[in-house]
Amino acid sequence: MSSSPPPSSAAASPSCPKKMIALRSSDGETFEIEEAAALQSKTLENMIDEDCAGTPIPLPNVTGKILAKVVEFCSKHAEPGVDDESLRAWDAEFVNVEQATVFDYILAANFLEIPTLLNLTCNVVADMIRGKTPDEIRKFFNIKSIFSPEEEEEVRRENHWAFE
Amino acid sequence: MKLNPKDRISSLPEDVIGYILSLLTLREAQATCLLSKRWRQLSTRHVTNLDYLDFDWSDLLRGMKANPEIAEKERARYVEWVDNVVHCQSGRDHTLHGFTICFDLNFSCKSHIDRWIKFALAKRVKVLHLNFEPVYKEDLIDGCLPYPLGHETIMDADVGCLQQSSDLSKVGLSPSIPWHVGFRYLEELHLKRVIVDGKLIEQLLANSPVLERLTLDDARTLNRLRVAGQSLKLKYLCVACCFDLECIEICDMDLVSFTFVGLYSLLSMDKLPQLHEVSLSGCISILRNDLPQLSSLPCLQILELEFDYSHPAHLAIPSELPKLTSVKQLKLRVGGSGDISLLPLTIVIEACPYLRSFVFEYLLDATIRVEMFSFASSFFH
Repeated sequence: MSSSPPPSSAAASPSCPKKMIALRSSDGETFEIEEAAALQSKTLENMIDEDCAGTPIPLPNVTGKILAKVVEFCSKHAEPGVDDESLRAWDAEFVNVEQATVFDYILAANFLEIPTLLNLTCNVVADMIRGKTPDEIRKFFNIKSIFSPEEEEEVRRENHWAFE
Repeated sequence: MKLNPKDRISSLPEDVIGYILSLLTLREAQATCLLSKRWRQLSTRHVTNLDYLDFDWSDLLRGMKANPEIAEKERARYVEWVDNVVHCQSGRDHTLHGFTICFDLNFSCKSHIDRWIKFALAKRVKVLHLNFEPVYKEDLIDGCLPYPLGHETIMDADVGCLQQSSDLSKVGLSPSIPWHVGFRYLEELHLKRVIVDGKLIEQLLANSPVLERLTLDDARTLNRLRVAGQSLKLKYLCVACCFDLECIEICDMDLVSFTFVGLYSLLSMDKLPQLHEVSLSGCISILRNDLPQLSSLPCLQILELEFDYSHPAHLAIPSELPKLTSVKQLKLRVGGSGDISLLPLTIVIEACPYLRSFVFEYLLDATIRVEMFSFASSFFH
């Protein structure tokens, strides 16, 4: 069992140590996250309430690689005094990753119920869809269309307003 | 169903896909039906369950503008699209949050539009936008007759028929047709280029217990409007470019914001203790005719005035203005050709002794919306 270094976060004053929550990924890595950051996740919020007495919360649906990034996201969004514009720029950089990673983030955000991350990542996917023809969308996302030419013609006709 | 493992998007949880589709326009979301069999189901389900229907097809509008010959055909396509989605949703027992139509439609589409309004009301819609602005500015005056909003559309026809029976009047019950129950839920109504008369609006206001926002833009034949009464929940009222409006009376209610764009209407405002924000666009006679009324509003903090200021308008500036002691923010938008001094306008600033912020916009030789309006209304006066 390996543990990775805790994410960088605002320094806590010595007289008031910030409460840290331990999380364990599906592949056994442990991560520490400040409570304030963890509360960005409704799932974690519920689990913290149940007071699991310091044992790492197991997250079987999230790998270490993704959990590290999710922790980074939540910590950044829990940071005080960050102005909207720089946060937006940071978010844009955060999702400037390959397609597969964006989907990993979506699944993690959905499982952990992090509305800000889900919103951010779903908007990225919507942007990927926007402005493309159905053929281009299929190619981009590797969607296999099993429509026969007649079926495709039928679907096109039924919804012709969407294609004109 | 076996999915290509590289096809991550199709294997997302359904509610996540639904969320992504809701970030697209209605047409973009509908277009995903062609991606695959699964997406055909997903997209249909999404459209059927949507609670905010925004029928935005601005590309088609642009096409119409470029090609006047195909206007009727484009109108028909738009109407067919809306009919189809409305039909798709009709079977479901759910409520709508918003319903927006934005296209160059007119009297020729009346039966369809009537149906859509009844549909939206039946679904207890909260926000209803009907924007039928014509694509060609010329049509503003000479175009096809605009869509008229009539009593029969907004009454509850089914219940109405029962009560219309003369037997009821024999037993002393008034055979009045009740308003569509949908008005109980309507919070916002925005009408642009709809024929509607003042009496209907008054009745509508009286029968809409939660209506907070009302916009009447280019409401043809609207001659007189009276918005009054403690029972009204209306907070935001906007009346713009209603060429036939002779007078408008607003009184005895808790209105918070009022926007008015018009040249020849008589404005009467009284007993409006919560009115916080007023925006008036018209001609310079605003200063003489309307500003004095504003001085009696105890809560008025934000004031915006817009008018044309070219020779000889400066002669119409009153020598004195009553003090608007509660106004903290003033915005003056003035259009002109730079041939007369702006200094006389300082009288407006002086009328607001407790002003904290002042914004001045001078539109040199530019057409502000009132100019276009005055061109059009010269046909009517």
